[in-house]
Amino acid sequence: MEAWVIVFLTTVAYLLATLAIGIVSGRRASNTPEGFVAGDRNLGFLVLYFIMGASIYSAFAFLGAPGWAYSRGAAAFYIVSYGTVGLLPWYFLGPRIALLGRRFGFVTQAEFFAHRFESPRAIPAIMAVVSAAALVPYLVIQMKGAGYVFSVVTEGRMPEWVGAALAYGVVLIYVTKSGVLGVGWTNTFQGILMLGLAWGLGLYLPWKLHGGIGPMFSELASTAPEMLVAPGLDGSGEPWGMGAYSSAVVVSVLGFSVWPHYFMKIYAARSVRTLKRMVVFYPTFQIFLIPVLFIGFAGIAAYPGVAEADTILPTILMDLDLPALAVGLFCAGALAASMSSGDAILHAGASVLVKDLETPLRGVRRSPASETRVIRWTALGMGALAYYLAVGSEASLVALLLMSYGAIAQFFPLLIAAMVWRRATRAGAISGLVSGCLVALALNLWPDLAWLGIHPGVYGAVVNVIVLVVVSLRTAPPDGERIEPYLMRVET
Amino acid sequence: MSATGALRWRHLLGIGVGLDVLLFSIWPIYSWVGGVRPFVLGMPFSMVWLCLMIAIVFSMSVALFIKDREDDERLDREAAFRGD
Repeated sequence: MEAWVIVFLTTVAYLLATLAIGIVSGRRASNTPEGFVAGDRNLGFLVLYFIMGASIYSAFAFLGAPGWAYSRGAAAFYIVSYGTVGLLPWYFLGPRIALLGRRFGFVTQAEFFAHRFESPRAIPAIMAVVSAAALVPYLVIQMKGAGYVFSVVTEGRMPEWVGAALAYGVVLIYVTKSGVLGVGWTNTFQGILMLGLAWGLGLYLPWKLHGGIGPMFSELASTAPEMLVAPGLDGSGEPWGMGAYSSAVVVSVLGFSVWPHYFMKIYAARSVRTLKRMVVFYPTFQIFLIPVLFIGFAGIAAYPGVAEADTILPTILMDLDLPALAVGLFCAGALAASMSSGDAILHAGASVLVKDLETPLRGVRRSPASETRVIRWTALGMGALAYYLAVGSEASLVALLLMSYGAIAQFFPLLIAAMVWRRATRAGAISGLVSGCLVALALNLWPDLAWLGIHPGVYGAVVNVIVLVVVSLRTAPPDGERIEPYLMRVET
Repeated sequence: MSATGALRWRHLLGIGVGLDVLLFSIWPIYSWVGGVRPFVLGMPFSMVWLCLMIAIVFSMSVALFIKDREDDERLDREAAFRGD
């Protein structure tokens, strides 16, 4: 049998296993938004841990992170850095959010803010638009990644549009059929596969190419020390500014705990204890990222001059003459990385569009079963749109995605204000959010205005906080009794 | 989080540790310590430092998690299905 056939069959076997797990896992969920979106608030530690972990292991982590380490060196460390503390706010605020979710029946992020700030339409609509602007390009990039993997697997015999359709056909089936349980259990399977591969390749490649991790870094320290000194290089190969590096970390930390597809998982936790356990163990996923970076560093001396840095891992693998099964497993792992992020995004995006945008704006009332049906159809529509953008358009998605990072980070000040500041009002929240997003957007469009190369999201957050405080103080305080359950207190 | 859902002093300490770790991972501290040497376990110090940060956050949150057990279990028992 030809090598590429074995590789292709391994990949197909992975897809079939994912499909089976995805379909079977949803059988126990109720046919309500609570069941479809929040898994009947009954997810255990393992599934929750892998949902959150596999979401960070996107196509970016698997292909992009080695690419960053290869072309920009220590700049790639920012990915490790932000995930270390990014989820920590959940340890302190998460239990309260989960309990309020149970009490008031929240399943999306914006429902929490809408209720706290008594803003049933404006806040959810703004958040839904920002979320969709962030999630759709994110999904498109994952789809492109999947198409690319198939094209590599079959040595160009299968065009990217067929590969993307195949992988995301499977995703659409289990997302629409099983909702968050399908996402959760497939992510557990995909997560284990990816971690195994990351460690296997991350330790094997430095050993194979350089005789070990120590010799690899010693060699780099003498030939290209600039790659190992923080904060590495920028996109054009010049030393990266510490201001730009630091603000990239800060914006990512701010945004991390409020990405809509993450935040919604707070409601899905079975108990306060389960949620906290997941947060405690989350940094272990950051440790798993380290070997992925080794792969990129291993390529610097051994494979100089690869123009497209993101292809460094496939380039090394194809060159090393590995057994076809190992290459097949790698391809399955790369697909798993793409799909395990894409499924959560698709699921969350559809839920947000229906629950936070369509339903409140049109003022429709539906039974839980029919609302779930609408969410399923929306997921199909969103998948189709993303597919069209992935294969049929040349739009610059990376630019849109980078822009949306700055906007998503603006949710964080709102979260803190909602839970610690009694005086925060609806007018303050809306004007802070809108002005923060606009500042981040403007500085993305005119980057020369961003002093010291600091991330536009940081400037946005500063303006956001100032506007939120000033406007809140100038408007009538909210009803104290109503917002009491939201406010965190300190007990001695 | 105590059984009434409030934070305890140890949580404020935990938040402080988290903020410190964030500050230790960016300018100016990370630019002082983010060099190549000394190598530890074969890795440059810029990378070792981040592993150290992960270890600090992990140990801190494990300690809190152990301490919080009683409060959390009471909260789960009494409040889980009706808010706090």
